[in-house]
Amino acid sequence: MSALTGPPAAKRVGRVLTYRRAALASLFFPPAGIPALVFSLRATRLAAQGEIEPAREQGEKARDWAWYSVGVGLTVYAVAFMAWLLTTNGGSVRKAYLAWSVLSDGGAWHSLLKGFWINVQVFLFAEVIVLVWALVVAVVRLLPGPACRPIRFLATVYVDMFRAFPAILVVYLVGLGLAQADVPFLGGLSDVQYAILALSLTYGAYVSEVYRAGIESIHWSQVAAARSLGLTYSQTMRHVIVPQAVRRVIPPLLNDFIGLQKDTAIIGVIGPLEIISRARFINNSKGTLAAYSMAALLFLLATLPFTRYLEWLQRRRQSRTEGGR
Amino acid sequence: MKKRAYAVLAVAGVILISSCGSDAAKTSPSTPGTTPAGGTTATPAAPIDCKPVTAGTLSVVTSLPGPNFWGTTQQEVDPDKIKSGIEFDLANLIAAKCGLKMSFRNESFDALVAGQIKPDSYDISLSQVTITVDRAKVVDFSLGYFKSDQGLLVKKGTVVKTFADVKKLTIGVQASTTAETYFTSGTPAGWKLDKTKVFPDLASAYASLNAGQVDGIIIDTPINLGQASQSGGKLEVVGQFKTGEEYGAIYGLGNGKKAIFAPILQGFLDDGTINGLIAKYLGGDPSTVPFIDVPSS
Repeated sequence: MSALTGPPAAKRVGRVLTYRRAALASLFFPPAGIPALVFSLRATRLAAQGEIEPAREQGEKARDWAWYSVGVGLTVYAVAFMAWLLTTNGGSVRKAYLAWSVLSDGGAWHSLLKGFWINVQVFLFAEVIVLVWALVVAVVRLLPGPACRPIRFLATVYVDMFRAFPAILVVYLVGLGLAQADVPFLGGLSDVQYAILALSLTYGAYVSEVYRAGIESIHWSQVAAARSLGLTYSQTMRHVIVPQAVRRVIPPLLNDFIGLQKDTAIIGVIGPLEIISRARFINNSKGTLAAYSMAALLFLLATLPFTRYLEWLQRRRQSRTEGGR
Repeated sequence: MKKRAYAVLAVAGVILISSCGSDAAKTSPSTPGTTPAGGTTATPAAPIDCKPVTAGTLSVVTSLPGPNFWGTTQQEVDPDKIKSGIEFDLANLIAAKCGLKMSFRNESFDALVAGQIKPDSYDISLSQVTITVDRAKVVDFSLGYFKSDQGLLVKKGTVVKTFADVKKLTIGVQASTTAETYFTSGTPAGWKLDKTKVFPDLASAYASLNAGQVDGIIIDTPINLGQASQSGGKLEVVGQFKTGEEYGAIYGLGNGKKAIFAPILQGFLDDGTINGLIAKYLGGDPSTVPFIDVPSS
């Protein structure tokens, strides 16, 4: 803020918020834009009179109001647009998405919740399996030495394949194929168990990459230090590397879990009457998409705590690792 | 971190244990359906031995949703609580003949018609499946219990008598249906209409008809009849085109179920039970809709 360089103070104050920008703001959303315009004009006048400090104060206010104009304006217009959408065409949009006859139907909610319970079971089980399975895959992919090359190769092939396959494809292949072929041990599972297996395979591949990135991000000197203390390779991984790596990758890991939660929506294709199949059923009998909106709400409610927890984790980590800055 | 991970595992374990046998959620023990109009459901003194895959239960497979066949349009919101429908009632009547209780489960339609449902996991499947030569290679079909020719739904007052009348109208069909094959690509020859619109789903096709953007919708006659009865007299099925399509029950290929259930189904066809169910749920018997001849070219 030094006055040694740059133009004279009066000119700079004028630049705090030009009259034109304030005018634009006032046009965009008058309730907040007009104060911006007034403050801007006042600032310009004061600056011209050489009253630098009051001018700057007024200019600051003008800038605040201009931002209010943009922010509040966008919100108001978005809400107004939604309201218009809901009422336009004789309320056809509202009827399509939010038909009250279905929204107020306790039986429909009960039916959807029963279905959602299947989704919840699937993602809870799959998440626990993925947590363990992906770590195994990641560690195998990082095994050192030429003797481990075949098994590393195997793990790499698995990850490449299941990251490439769309989840719905895996659900079909596992859910219908294993039962039809009557594979030993796996031929007699229920649809829900097949769904858990399919999603665990798919997300195991994703999450193993997350783990791998975490493990590789730990500085090699940690390994060197551990090995020089006499720890074996597996002890080093178990006690030194993996604990640090896991802590580092918790946010991206949870992010993948949110994806997994949402992907439980596809398991209906092999039969279980989970939430989407039930929403389809209601949609068919009632002729409105309201059941899909209700399902969307339930997914939102299930994911929100997760996303908020994730944000909190990230903030906490930031304050711990970079707090001193 | 470690403690927390164990806690998560413990919670999941508890859920695992408590949710064992959650398969029951898929099926629903049901009460026998209401006696259909015109049906004679006097149970014979000795029930037929239907050799069910699960003792005491007739295991039925279907693919939901199937409005008017499993659950009645406009009423039911919970697949576990279906209490009506043509195939639902039929399944219950068959179960009654066998002295069993009926239980149904949902399966993927694709898997069902591709013969990918384990043959020893169900007794019979009723799922509005059209009998085709290709499908009959991988599953056993019953005789057709339901004729599904292609019906033309129009606003009341639209006069359609001949195929020439139909050609003057703008007709909507649903993508990937047999109606699309017949009327937009003209297979067999001569069925092609001049003005057609293809809709991704039936709901938008009907909305378009109500909005006057198309003059008629062609799809399976029973489906159009259901829509007509819902419209409160605003829409009517003025005619149908004979395609010879029929719905049949599906059994596991070569597992002998076909022979067991054939006489039961034949009985329900002969005594008018099935036609009674169709009239009850579709508000009209498809066989009463006049046929429109397509001139062969």
